[in-house]
Amino acid sequence: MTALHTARHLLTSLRRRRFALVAIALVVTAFVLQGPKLAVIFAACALLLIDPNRPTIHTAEQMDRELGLRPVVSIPHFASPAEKLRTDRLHRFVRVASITALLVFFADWLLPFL
Amino acid sequence: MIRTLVSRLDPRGDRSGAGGNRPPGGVPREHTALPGSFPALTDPSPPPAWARLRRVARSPSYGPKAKVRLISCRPTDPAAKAFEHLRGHLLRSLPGNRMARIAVISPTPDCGSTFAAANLALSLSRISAFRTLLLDLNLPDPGLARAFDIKGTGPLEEMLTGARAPERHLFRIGETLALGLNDRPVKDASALMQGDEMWGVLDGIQNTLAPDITLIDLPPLLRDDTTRLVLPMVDGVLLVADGARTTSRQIAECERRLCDRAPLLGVVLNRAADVPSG
Repeated sequence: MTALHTARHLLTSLRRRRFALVAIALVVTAFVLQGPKLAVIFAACALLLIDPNRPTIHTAEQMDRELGLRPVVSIPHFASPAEKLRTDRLHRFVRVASITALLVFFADWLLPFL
Repeated sequence: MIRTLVSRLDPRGDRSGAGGNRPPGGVPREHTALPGSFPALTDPSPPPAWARLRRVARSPSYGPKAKVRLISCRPTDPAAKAFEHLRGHLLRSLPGNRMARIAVISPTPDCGSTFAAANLALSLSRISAFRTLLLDLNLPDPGLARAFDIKGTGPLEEMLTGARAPERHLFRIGETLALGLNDRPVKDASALMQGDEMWGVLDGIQNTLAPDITLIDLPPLLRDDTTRLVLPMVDGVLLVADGARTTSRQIAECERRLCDRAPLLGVVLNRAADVPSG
């Protein structure tokens, strides 16, 4: 009786230690929101931040129409050399950041091709 | 506050008539003093105090260090035409007296009032024998010294309180433009601007230097209520709006605050999306 009990116990313990590969678990390697969706959400947020409902006067005609006031002169925007340098640096940074962000967002699509 | 403008009325009276005091088209010619033209109204020989002002060796540059665009230094710049038009309009709109005191203001900071004042002064200085005095009275946040890229101008507060002689602080660029710049903000600017002392000093400067026009860069109208309070001390106001940030509501509010305090000579739309007029 004891031997039988021991044998069953051993068999159970062995059975417990038996490992079997049932299925390969999926590893999450990307965001829940995929690249295009996330890009659309980011763009919408950026638009909301850029234009916070400020009806600025852009042109002389607009000022005349909205206020009945005609500006004496309209001075177009021209960047000084210093401003141009700053703008060029900013554009370069935005370009590099955008490319990096795109690469990160579409990494799961691009990885199989690499 | 004693106004000296009344005592300096143009001896020939009205300049708006078609009499001959004005050149064809109404705009003075540059670097010429034609008989009967607007610049001829000015005494060709400057007063001794004006001649004694120290003259800076270098002209305002349009180099990489320039903080604002000194378009008037580059006549080929497309926007220089806008300032020529503004100069003509201002000369036509001046009150019927000499030594007019014109304030250049904006509704909010960074709209370009310093830029407009600097370039308008440079544009006016191109008229021979027409003396222009440009003062930086944006005491909380002075910017003209940076705009002209001139360092070591010293505190304007000392001159405005009478502690320093104007001849020691003011200087000239060329023969027709005098500058009163400031290289540091004034802490109690509101009290200084509302006091009689400062305006007494400015009256004295106008008496001794006898500039034909005094351009004053003032703090933003909607930000600093002091600006509204000192408006009766000027003969006219040029309002500078920014096409990228000024709203119609802000301009309307500026008009309301200017009402009955100083005549609005015109609105300048800076950073406009359209081409310059004129």
